[in-house]
Amino acid sequence: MTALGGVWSAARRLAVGSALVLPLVGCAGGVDTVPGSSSAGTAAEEELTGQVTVFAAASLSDVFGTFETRFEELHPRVDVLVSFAGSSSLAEQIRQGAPADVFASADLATMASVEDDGAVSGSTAFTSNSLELVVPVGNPAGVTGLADLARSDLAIALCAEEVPCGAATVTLLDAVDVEAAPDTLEQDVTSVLTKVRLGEADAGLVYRTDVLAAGDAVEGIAVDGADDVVNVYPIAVLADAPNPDAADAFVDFVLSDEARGILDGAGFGAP
Amino acid sequence: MSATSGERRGAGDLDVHVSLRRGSFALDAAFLALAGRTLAIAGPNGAGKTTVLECIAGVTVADTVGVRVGERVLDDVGTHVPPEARRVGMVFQEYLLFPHLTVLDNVAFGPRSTGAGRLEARERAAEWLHRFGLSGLSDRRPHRLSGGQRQRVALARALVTEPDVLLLDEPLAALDVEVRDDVRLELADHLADFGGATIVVTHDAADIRTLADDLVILERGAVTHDGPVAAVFDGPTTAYARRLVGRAGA
Amino acid sequence: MPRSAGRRSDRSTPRLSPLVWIAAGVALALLVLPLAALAVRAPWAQLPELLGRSEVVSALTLSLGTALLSTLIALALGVPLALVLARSAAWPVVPRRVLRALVTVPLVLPPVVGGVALLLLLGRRGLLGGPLEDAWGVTIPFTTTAVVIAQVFVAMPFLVLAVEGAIRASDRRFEQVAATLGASRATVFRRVTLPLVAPGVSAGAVLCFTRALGEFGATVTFAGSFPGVTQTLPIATYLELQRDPQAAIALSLVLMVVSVVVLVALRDRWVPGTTA
Repeated sequence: MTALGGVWSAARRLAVGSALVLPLVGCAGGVDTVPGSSSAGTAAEEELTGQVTVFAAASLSDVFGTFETRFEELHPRVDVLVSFAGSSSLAEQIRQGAPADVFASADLATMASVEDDGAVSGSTAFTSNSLELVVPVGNPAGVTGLADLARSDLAIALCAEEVPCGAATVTLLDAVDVEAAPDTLEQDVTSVLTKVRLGEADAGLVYRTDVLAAGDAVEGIAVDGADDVVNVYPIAVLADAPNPDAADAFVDFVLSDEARGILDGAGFGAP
Repeated sequence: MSATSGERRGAGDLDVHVSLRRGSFALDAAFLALAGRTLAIAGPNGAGKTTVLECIAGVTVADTVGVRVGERVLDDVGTHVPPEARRVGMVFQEYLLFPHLTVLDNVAFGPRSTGAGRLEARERAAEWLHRFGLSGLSDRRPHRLSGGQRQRVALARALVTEPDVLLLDEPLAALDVEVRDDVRLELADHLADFGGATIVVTHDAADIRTLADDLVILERGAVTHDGPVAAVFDGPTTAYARRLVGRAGA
Repeated sequence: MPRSAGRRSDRSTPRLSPLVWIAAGVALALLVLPLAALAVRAPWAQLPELLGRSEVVSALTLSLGTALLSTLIALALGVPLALVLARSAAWPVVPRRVLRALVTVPLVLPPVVGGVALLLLLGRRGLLGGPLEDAWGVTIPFTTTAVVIAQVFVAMPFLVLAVEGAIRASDRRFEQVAATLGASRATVFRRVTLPLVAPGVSAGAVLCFTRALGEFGATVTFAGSFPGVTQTLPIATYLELQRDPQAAIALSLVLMVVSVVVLVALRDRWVPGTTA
């Protein structure tokens, strides 16, 4: 719990610091969906070397950790460094000239803002995430579906509308026509998850991957209509990438079938 | 050396016996301070003079303390009257006037704390300030007083509670040398009006000559001289005492 | 005027070395420049409209109310704790250090962790919160009470340490003087100890209030965030950052201005005469 809180607050502080000067751009653009290249091994023949710095959204921590290991096995002379933080913090760091090679964002809008600044030209959607009901172990309140979010006798935790997961929540609840009665509107998914994990909230809406990553600490309940409201993750090589060849190879790997398998295992959906 | 003896004790006389050990410092002193007279306690720094006063005032507790005023026991085996109930007034070094109170309220503090109403306390305070020629300063804060004025206020503050015993810890040490003589003479007048036993701690021979009737010299926690000032000054027996009375090397 | 006093104050304020001035200037710049940047970038024109928004008004009201209540609670509980802490100088080393560490820990703890700790104690499944709900049906998280508890938890140590410092710095002989003048312990505390440490108490209360007003991490973790109930201004500001950074800047400016105004007002009221 302590470690979780520490990391979490550090990430949040970063987000606050940078977001102060960050003009968020609301439109998404320049994303084309490209099917994964079939072989992840082709790049090895070019004898890639050096270091690849990858900036990845915090929700990708688990899978990108695995990607790093696998990629380094395929390219022994390449050292992959992955920096995880909130997408908007990473975008701001990129804008401020951080020497990154690859950027993987948790939403299209953030990637679009980086593209608008010319730090990226063209990104590729590589995966997506959808919402799922999450309840404490044993489901003490007997939650069965989204309709239960309207029960005022339950403690309900949702993401605040201002943050991406909250926007997705609103869209989903609108789509299924449920008037939720939340007790708290949290600033990120992790906070919702924590409240449910500790049993403070009887139910919450978080991403499917978060439910899977939480393991036995919570229970997930798949909901109808969730697949229609997805969050798309784009990835791009930065225009000023210090090591563009290796960066290209890493992006290719992320788009490969092998990576697709890892993403599937973590609960991520198709792009 | 001690002049203490039960038979001689009068109604307002202060009978003191203090004994304590703090690390390597040991104090064991006994003496009698007579009502209507002023006893000076002199001695080198670290001799235990202030500790003796604090024991008499009850703010420090020694290993064994015997303090009596007449027949009233303030300290004995199994007895410790707390400072607020001892009727022992004390003027501390640097006077320690309450910085957050005016001169008037400093002096009214005692009466107010012992049950007098606000008006009555202020009246009694004003009376003492008048007696000490401080009426014009009633509304001042202590930091706007001269050293001599502070000393008089501190004295008035102690005397307004009508204590049985008055203790003064180096009452002139905080003053500039130029004003000391005047303040000392004035202090002697005020002490002369006080009916109880007075103890003045000092290491200034001028203080002793002007203020005191009797003298106890305390060295390394023990009484080395005890008697009327003139008698002690006539026959100093230790190096410190000889230096004090101005007969060093004589 | 007394010459001795004049000389003493001359002696205690020697000329400062240029290095001190430079360092002080850098320190001030470090504190002020970010806020100045905030003020420069703030959308001033947007401010009246923002201040009129009902959610901003409710967040501001909630923040001021809870911070004030937290400060009062911290005063009532923290001053006695500071007294004990100041007196602990006479204790054996181990309990003295343990007590001091316990008081200081919330200062170094990331507030979010503090919030989790509060949940583990007072949450619905917490050590105390569980029995509380079973016995009386009382739940603390997601209530304004939780906001106040979180603020007290995070802000009270500031008050305790400030007051304790003042008590230590104050001359205990003043209390002895008061006792020899016939004052009981209670009178000594009320008429001497407390007034003498009043500047420290007021400084501590001011620190505590500002810290409570700006509290975010422990509050959002323990109390959650719901408009009008638990969503204080810092939380509203943070959420607004995700959507409309300009508005968020304006909100943080409001928070700043309000704290400054409140602090100035409190200072003058709480420290009568002691500034002389």
